[in-house]
Parts: sequence; C-alpha cells; structure tokens
Amino acid sequence: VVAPTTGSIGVRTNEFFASMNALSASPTDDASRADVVAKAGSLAQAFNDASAGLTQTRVDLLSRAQSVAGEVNDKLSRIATLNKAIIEATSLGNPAADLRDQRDVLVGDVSDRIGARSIEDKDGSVTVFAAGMTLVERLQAVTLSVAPDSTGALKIQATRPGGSATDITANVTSGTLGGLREARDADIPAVTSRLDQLANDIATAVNTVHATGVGLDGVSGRPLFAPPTGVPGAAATLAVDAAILGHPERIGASPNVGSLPGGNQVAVQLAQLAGAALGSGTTTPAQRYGSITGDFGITKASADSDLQMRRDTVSTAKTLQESASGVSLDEEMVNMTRFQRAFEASTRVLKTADELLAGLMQML
Amino acid sequence: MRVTNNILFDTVDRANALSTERLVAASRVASDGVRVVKPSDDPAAFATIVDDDARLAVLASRSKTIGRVTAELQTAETTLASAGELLIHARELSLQASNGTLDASSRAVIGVEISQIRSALLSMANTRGSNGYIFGGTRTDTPPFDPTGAFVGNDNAMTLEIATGVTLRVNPSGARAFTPAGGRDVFADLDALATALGSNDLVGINTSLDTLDADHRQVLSTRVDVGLTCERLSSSTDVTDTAVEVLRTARAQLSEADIVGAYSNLAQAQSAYERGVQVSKTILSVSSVNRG
Repeated sequence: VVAPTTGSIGVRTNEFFASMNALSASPTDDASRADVVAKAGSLAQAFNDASAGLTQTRVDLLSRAQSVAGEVNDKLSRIATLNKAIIEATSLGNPAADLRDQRDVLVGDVSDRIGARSIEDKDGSVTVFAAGMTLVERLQAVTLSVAPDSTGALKIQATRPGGSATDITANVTSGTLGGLREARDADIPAVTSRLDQLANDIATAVNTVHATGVGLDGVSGRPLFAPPTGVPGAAATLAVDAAILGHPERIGASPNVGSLPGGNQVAVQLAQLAGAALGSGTTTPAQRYGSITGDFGITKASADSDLQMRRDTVSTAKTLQESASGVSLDEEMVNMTRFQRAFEASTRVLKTADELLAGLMQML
Repeated sequence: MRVTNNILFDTVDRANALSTERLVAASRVASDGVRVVKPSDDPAAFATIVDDDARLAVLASRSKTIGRVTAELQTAETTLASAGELLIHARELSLQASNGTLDASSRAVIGVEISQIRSALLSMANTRGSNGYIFGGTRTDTPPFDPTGAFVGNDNAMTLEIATGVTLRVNPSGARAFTPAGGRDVFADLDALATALGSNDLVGINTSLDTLDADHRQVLSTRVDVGLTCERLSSSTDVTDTAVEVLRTARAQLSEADIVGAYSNLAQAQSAYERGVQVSKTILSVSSVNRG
C-alpha cells in the first residue's frame, strides 16, 4: 500500500517534478503544460490510493478483530461449559481426563488470541485471566466485544453475565487481538499521519511557489493543488486545484506578466523543489518518503523477526512439554514388548508350576 | 530428553517449512535479479534507493531539457553566424560604394541590395524555434522586430537549472544582438546606409563603414555568448551523465543481486531442501512400530 512496486508516491513525485522541469524548457508548449497537470493529478492519486489503502486495511483489521473476539467468546463459553462438566465428574471421583484435554486446548486457543493465563481450582475448574480481568470463573464466562470508539480506535470491552461492560482496551497488549490493535491503532495511524504531513508539505510548498507565477492568461496567485484544509486527511484529499484542472494554460510558469509567454523562472523554482528541504524539515520530498517507507520496512522486518523468535520459543516450550507429557511410540513399543515378555515369563512360571503340581498329583 | 513422535513430526515440519521458505526467496532473487523489492527486504537500502531514484529522475529530466534548449541555441548560433556574414557583405558593398569613381545610379543599385540584406536580416532576427521566436526574449509569441526594424520583444531571461542550485540564461538576447541595448541599432544603421546610397551621400556611406563594423561586432558578441552558453550546457550534460552513471551503479549495488551469489544461494537452498526432504523421509520411516 505504501510502497507499491509501480506508481508509488516516490515515482509519482519524481514524475511530477520532471514534468515541471520539462515545462521550464518549453513554457509555451501546450503538451508540456498538460503533462504537468496530468502528473500533478497522478501524484495526488498516489497519495489518495496510499491513504485509502491504509484506511481499508484498518477496516479489515477491525473486522478481523471482531472475528477474533467472536472466536474468543465461543471458546470462553465452551471452557465454562467444560468447567461445569469437570466439576461434576470430579465430585463423583472421575478425573475426566478427556474433558480436561478438550479444555486445555481451548485455554491454549484463547491464550493465542488474547494472551490469557489459567489457574486450576480444587474443584477441577479453571479460572482464565487476560487483559487485567477474569475471563472465565467456574461456570461464568465474560463476553468480549470490539467496536470503534469515537476517535475510530478499537474499543475492546468485556461484559460479565448480567453485569456492565468494562473497557479493557489498554490492557489488550498480547495475542492476536493485541497484535491487531497495535497494527491498526498504532502502526498504521503513524504511517498515515506521516503521509498526511508529506502530502500537506508538498502541496503547500508547490502552491506557495506557484502562487508567485503568472499563467498564460496573465493571472497569478493560483494554487496548483487544492489547498489542504489541514494536515490530517491531506493525503486522502490531495487533488489538483479545480481552477487548474482542464486549464493547463493557467499554470504559473512566468515570474510576471511582462515575461509572458516565455517566462519560465517560476517553473524552474517549482522543479527545484524536488531537491529542496520540505516544510520546516531538512529533507527533500524523496528523502521524506524514503524515510517513511524505510521505517515501515523496519517495523515489518522487526515484526517478522519477532514472529520467528516467538515461533522458536513456542516450539522449544512445546518440545519440553511434549518431552515431559508426550508419548514416544518407540518407547511404548519397547515397554510393551518388555511387559509382554514379563507376562510370557510369568505365564511360563505358572505353566511350569502347574506341570509340577500335575506331576505331583499323578504321583500321589 | 525424551523425543516423542510429536516432537519428531514438529521438528520435521518446521525444518521443511524453513527450507521451503528459503528456497522460494532464493528462487525469486535468482529469477528477477533484484534483491530489494519492498521496504522490509532492506529498509535502509530501500530508503536510499528511493532517494537515488529521485536524484536520477532530476538528472535525467535535466539532461533532456538541456538537450532541448541546446538545439534551440544551436539554431540561434547558426542564425547569428548568417547575420554576421550578411553584415560583412553589407560592409563590403558599402566599401565598394565609397569609391569616388562610382556614379549615383551605381550607388542606388547597391542601395537596393542593402535593402534586400536588411530584409534578410530582419527575417533572421524573427527566426522561430520550437519555443516560438528565438530573439524576442520571453515574448516568444510575436515577431520581435516589426517591418520597420523596431524591437517589440523584451530582453527577459529564460533560465534553466544546469546543476543543483545553478541556473543559466538560455535564451539568446535579440535586444543585445540587433538593438541599441547592445550598442547599435543594426536595422537603423542599414536603413541609414540605404538612404545614403539612394541619395548619393558619400559622407553617410563612409560613416556606415564604421557603424557596420560595430554592428558586426555586436552580432558576433551575442553569437559568442550563445556559443559559451552551449559550451556550459554541454559540460553540464557531461557532468550530469557522469553523475547518472555513478548513481546508477550505486543504486544497482544496493538493489540488484549479485547473479553468481544469487545462483549459488539458490543451489544451496535447493540442496538444503532436498536433503531436508530426504532426512524427513528417513526419520519418519525409522520406527520400531513399523518393524513390528
């Protein structure tokens, strides 16, 4: 979304400034003027697409978070049901191993999704904790709900049966839900905000210079991009100014009316913005975009590396668990053979004793 | 540590997943020869590549515009050379007319020829290029000299950035070549000579010898300016081309894979994958249960 292989903001920015440079060599050329308008439109579209892509990703992540919450609710409810069955079985002296196995799997699944921990009580039931609250206690399970709050951020609430909803958003920091929340409400907004700032700064810088230029119609003071109303949303709404759309002759390439129509100094200044520090910063538009994509790449690479490390950790833990509680078919086979031989030996002893007794009986 | 069957299956599964992942990544790099496709491939390199691409775009665009402007300036230089030759011819005719043995009718004939030279010069001063009239300053949409030889253009500069932060005037000055802005009014001088020839005014004819010399030097001076501008543009193109090569090499080193290394990695990944599959097969087949 931020750095597509074709038509990225970086590529469109380069094309826009290149078209401005071409205009500086041919300020009276209609095709060069039309190309500037087209390239400005493509640049605006690249910002719009990136912003829309990020917004859609947030929508998708909300939907996914809601699905995950639904899965957690189902599993919490089943854990509570199993708790009931296990309590009853335990009270009758039955360890209910199968039911416990089923419940362990469900607790593991809940833990995957929201980073839960569990404690088994004396009566055989488990209490499941996550995000600073009890999710399952004996026969009762809370219900999680996920919805956007007034700012559009994820709001995760837990509701006890017959109780009121508790906001646990800030405590959901691990598991699938924690990851979705961080990606949706921290990582993506950070990128969106930086893209908005970049779009705003490019539009403002271009408009400031362009306003000093005079169009072939003798009018100056026009913006090239529709002036952003503010930084938030600048990338989503960036567009060529309505007065310029369809009127390439209005592009202000000339520094004054007296230099029309061949005056090009404003076009030169606009082309020079490609290599100039943008806004109040010290980096060029390309460097700013490179920094955004680079940081995004670092976040992604770091997440990949983190994922690999966690997979290894889980694998090691599973290996240890398996080693302690799992079954080795070879080992069991050996044991089975050993016991079989022991059984055969004892059978032989019995048979021998029987034969001895039979012989003795005959002698008598 | 007890190795259970689940541990065995999980280990084989993970090992195979990793070797498959490595094989797919190595195949991609070896097939398209590109190491950095997306930011997460190498974030620092990706940011540098974005910056390099922007610099390359600026340089490529600069090179293109310099080429276009140079073609325009070469037209101007050729035109000024021809204008200079016309003025030399006019001076030769003037010198011929200043000979005391010539009668009035012969001078009148030379006067007609001078008028034709003036017309040809006016036509040259109103030469059009791809951006309009070459000698009209930034007023490129109308002929800079009217039929009387009066200058109606301007002497405003059209500039171009030839290096970062360095701009250069790239339109020839018609005002300095043909009007009093350069010292003499060339068309007025030719008009004066034609009038002197028509009226058999020997003093006027002799005076024109000096004025035509000055006119020629004036046109020549503008031609030299144009030539110098062309040279600066040419040297800027050389610098730009060198910078493009350097940047392209730097970019390639960052983004492109070493082909030998990429194939070597692919071969290693493929070998690891095949070994992994073989090992999996062996491990999974070794069980006392199967031998039961």
